[in-house]
Amino acid sequence: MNAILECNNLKKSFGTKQALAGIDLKVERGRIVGLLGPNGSGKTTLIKLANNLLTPTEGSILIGGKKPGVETKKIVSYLPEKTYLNNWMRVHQIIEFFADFYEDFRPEKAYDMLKRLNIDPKDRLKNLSKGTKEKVQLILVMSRDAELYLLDEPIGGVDPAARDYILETIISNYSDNATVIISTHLISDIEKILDDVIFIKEGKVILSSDVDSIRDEKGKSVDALFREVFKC
Amino acid sequence: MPWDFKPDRPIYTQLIEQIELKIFSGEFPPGSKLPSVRDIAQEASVNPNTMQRALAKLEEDGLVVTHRTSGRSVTEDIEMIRKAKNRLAKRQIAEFLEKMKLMGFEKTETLALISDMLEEMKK
Amino acid sequence: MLGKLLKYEVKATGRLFLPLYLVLILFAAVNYFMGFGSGDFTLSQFITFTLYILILVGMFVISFVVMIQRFYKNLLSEEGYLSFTLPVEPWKHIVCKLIVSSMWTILSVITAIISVIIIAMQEVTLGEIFKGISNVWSMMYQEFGDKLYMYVIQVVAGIIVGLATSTLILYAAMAIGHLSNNHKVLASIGSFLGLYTLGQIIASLILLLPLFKDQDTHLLINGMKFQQLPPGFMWGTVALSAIYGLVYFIITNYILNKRLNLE
Repeated sequence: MNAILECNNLKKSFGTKQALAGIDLKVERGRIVGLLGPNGSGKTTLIKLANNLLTPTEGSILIGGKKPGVETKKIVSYLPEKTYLNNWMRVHQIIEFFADFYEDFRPEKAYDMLKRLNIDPKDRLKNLSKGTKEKVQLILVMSRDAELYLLDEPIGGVDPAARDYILETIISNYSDNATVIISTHLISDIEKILDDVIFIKEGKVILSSDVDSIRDEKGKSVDALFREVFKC
Repeated sequence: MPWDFKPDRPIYTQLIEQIELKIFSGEFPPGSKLPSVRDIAQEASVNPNTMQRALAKLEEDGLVVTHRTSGRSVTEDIEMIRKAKNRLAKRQIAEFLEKMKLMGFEKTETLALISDMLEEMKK
Repeated sequence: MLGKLLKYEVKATGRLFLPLYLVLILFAAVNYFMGFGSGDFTLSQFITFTLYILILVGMFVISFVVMIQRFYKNLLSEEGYLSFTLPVEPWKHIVCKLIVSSMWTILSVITAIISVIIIAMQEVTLGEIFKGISNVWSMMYQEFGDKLYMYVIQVVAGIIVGLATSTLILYAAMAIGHLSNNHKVLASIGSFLGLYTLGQIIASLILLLPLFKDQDTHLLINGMKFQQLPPGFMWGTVALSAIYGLVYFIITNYILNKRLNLE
């Protein structure tokens, strides 16, 4: 089977500012991958390109062998950094909305997770706290049986208990056919659940390896290596 | 026994050691069924692929057996568990003796110290 | 998928418009029962009538605001992260927003007419109103003959196309404006003025030149009758408006496809 995500000399500029300076990357299916880099390194730009929210300036990006578009959106589940929830629906209505548009959405899974996180499906989205909104979005994203999950900073804003729950969800959701890419700069929390890590700096991939190889070869954790590589 | 990982070594080797310990200590008794890879990975909060690799290595060593239909279980071969346990014990003792040597203790002195301590603990 | 988009668009906007229509009709009814127009004009009649007018005006203002707000908020602000990751082509979002906002504008007009009729029924019966309408129709028929049907079709087509085009120019202006990184709203207003002025200049050149060429110039200056316009003039304006709408649509669609710049 083809790689779930493949980039060839992928470049993206905003005006004169270059956000991605030629990314070559291949991510296989059935992996949990950390996309690691400091703020402004190009993580979000890469993820947006994979979601067709941006168009490459040069080079190509392929999802399961296809250019980003309607077909890839059916198999990609995306958690942006922003809260995209509207202010007029209730929680159960946004679940119905997702079920309506995504064939791979499992409402029962979503209701189950809502219950575990003590969120009332009858609550209005606009009345939820920022943290709860983030949890609802994560539930929506993880309740799909997607082939590629793109999670942009999923653990940045939430409390430690919710963070553990997120990591647990990612593990329990694991499937041989699905890949999860998590972008973050908080590495120590997620290191244990990763297969591979991709270090990205100033729009370039500077390291792509599996976690245990790094620990084996360097004798240190990915977190320690990250601090070393991105030392200010 | 909670799962705990040190930052300087591969998670996969640490998983093997910790599962071995659980088998030796009886937390996973001989012949008992092991949780599924996903469940045990979730419990340890580690990547399922890494857990899979660790279990495969334990299987290779013979401590864990796979049944075609009902998943994995700990071997029923008590003799094999005992041997593996002894191997681990010997390794630990060798490491300990090495450290004592660095501190300047002769083997007989070390042994005397151990006997004394055991006497103390009895009281 | 367009059907599903339409369903949610109607849900998102209907919760605003339907109560509004209800309130307008209610106030028309209150005016009717207060006996508005029958003899003296009391203070309470004045107040309820003023309120009615305010609601009527408010309804059209809200139609306009909602048209802009739905497009901007749902597609170009943070909600765009969801809208544009749905497995739907961007052009369907534009068409969906256009259809639903046009629908509400038309329904607003219909509701307004109904409310006026309700108030008018204080003085005239429903039968008299219909009689009046048919009188106007036969008067116009005497003037224009069979051509009247054609004119009516032209006017209806002109209204529908004009509605769509005036909506699409706003969409295009917002799409262009959101390309700016710092002053999206200001840039949207600027884009609108730019598009509008450009459209006016081109329209004047295209529509007025043939008039100057074919007709006596002083006719234009002294004003001319509807029937004296060159044949096909009305259809020409409708077609031109449709072309404008298409151009605005293409601009909007291109930006949403290739130049999306969500914050």
